[in-house]
Amino acid sequence: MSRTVRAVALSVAAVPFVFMACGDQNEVTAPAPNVANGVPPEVIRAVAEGGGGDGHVLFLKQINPKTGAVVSGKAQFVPIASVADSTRPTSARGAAATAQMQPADNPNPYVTVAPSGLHLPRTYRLPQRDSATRNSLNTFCYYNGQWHQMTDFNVDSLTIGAVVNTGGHEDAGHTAAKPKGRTNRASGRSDALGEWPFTYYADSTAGDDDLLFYYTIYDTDEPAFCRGPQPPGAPYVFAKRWPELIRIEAQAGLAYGSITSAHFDIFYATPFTAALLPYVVELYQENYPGGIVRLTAGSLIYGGLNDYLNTWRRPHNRHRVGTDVDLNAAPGGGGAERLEAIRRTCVRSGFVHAVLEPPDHVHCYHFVGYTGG
Amino acid sequence: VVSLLVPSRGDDVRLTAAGFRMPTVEAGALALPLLWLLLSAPKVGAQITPADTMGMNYPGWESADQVAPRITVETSYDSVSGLWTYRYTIANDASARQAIWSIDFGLDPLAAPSRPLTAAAPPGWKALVYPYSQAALLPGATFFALYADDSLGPASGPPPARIPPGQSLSGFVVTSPYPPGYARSYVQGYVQLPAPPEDRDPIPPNDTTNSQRGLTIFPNQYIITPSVAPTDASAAAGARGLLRTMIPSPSGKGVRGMTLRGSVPIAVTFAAPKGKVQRATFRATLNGVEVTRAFHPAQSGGADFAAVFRRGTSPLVAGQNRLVATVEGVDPRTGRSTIDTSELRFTVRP
Repeated sequence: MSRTVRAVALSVAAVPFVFMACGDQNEVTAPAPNVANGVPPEVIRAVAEGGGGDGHVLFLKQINPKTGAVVSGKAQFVPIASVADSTRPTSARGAAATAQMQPADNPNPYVTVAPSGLHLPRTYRLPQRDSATRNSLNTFCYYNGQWHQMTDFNVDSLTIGAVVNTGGHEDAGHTAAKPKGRTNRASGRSDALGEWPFTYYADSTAGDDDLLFYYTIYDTDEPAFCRGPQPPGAPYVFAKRWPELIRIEAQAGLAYGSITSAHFDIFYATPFTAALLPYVVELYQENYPGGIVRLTAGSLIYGGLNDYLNTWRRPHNRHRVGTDVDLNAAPGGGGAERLEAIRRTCVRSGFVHAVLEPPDHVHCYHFVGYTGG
Repeated sequence: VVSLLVPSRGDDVRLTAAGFRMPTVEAGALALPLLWLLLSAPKVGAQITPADTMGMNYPGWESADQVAPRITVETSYDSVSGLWTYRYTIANDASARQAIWSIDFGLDPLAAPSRPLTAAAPPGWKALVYPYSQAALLPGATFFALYADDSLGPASGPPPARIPPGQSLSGFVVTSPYPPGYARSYVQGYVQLPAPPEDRDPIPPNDTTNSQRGLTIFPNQYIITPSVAPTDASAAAGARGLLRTMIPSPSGKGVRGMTLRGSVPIAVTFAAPKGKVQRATFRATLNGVEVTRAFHPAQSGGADFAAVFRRGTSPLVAGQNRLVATVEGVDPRTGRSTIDTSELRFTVRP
């Protein structure tokens, strides 16, 4: 049984929603984004922005696991012109991203998911399991000015692709393919309400993941256009990010070390951590006038696993959440005396912990209670 | 909260609401250089207090608190330069299981001495200073023993100048215009730790917990505020508000309810407005014995005078002690000349 929703006439209060028809540039008045008619505004907007013609819409919602309420939603429109094109859209945004370099990440991801171990403010402890996001998929069809919400469809396959060169990682320099997230199901029939729920588990490596759906509509009372196997929706981008990291600013007395791993930039930190570094420099220069503190590592732009060995694995495990920096003295690292001086200066200036990591740097961090993982 | 301290005659210091210090020249700094041999033993004998090591438990890890430090301080005041010199001798009791390789002194920021703060270390050691500034969350000073080979660091073996159990080392010197008060001390033993397992990233505890901790004498900017002192039992205020006396703690405020060991620093501040106190009339007795000459102008600190007393070289006794300070001036409430008295009682452990 399907539920057909007709495009309603504009209400007096509604603001006309105007979009440009693809190709001929004629202005077409689209259905108003009126939630009361049962079609989410994101879906209507996706059609409008996609050209306004007939086509299918995949609507993905993030669900609050405790309340069941929709947290956010994002719609992907596949116009009729693309129906014949069954070529799988690849996760090759990385090709463009390679040229774009840092940062290559999608500026408008569907969902921001904190990667594994990034729940610092709540638990002060890096969890061992990946972060999960509960989601639900709906499908819509827009045909001859009418909205149709499909209530009987099957996801034939759900595949995930890690977008290369995102999250600050330069994939080509790594020893293996970038880890990607996973879902609890990869296929299956929608439920009685026309929902296809699934859970996405982010990997601890920050970056973007594309989610690609192949699906088939089984609603028998829908126009033929809307039925049958459908082309894959455009990839949904799940971004695995630890937000609010900032780049540590260059300043007098603080030099950047060279980046020797396959990462675009490793000098990000929380604002708090970044604010401590000028103090470290000031106190260091109190004892070594004119001395230079060299920052050799912080976190990646969106945090997450900072695999300096380019293996998508530890060590360097703590540089995930912007609370940790590696320091030594310039030039040449400084020797044991200066490293010990930097270690003690870190503690004096506000870092909670500092440890000498022979032979070449001091690890300073203010993360309390972290037990590894 | 730091409220406004109206400067008394002598204008040692002004504390503004923002907490900035604006030291001015002390007019009466004419005392001859004196020397006190002071003893402050935060941990005496074989008692070793376990440090808070925050659950460190990987194989081979060992806490650095298995030392038995005894810190002896010798202070002197140079009235010409206006500088106090603090000479420390660090002993490690024979009961210790580790050699001492670092000594840290720390104060609360507002009690910490500002620049100039200098330190010198004996051969084989390095001295670092952290004077009061916005950058220093834990101001003070640090001494640590150097490795035999600076390029190899810990791989070259334990620092040769470390202080083994049963031995002591002198030559640790701190110089400051700030008078003595209490600071926290953190003494660490040397531990050659194995590398942690690859699947672990253990966090070692902070130096201030992974150490033997105590109190010792160190330059201190006393924080004495009229808004706090009258209700603060730790600072004994004069009845007419002309002066108050206190034993400065690492926080810069008065020591309260603590049984003291070793040396006892005492600070005096004149709380009345400038011109209301006749500084030259200041007198002090300790257990009934005149000790006025033991007090020196505290040029740059929050107090007007400071002294350090030690058993054997002063009237200080084990058990209850009573210091009485008097000064003449004008009662700010009545406008009449008066003599104000501040009495401070404290206990010293035998």
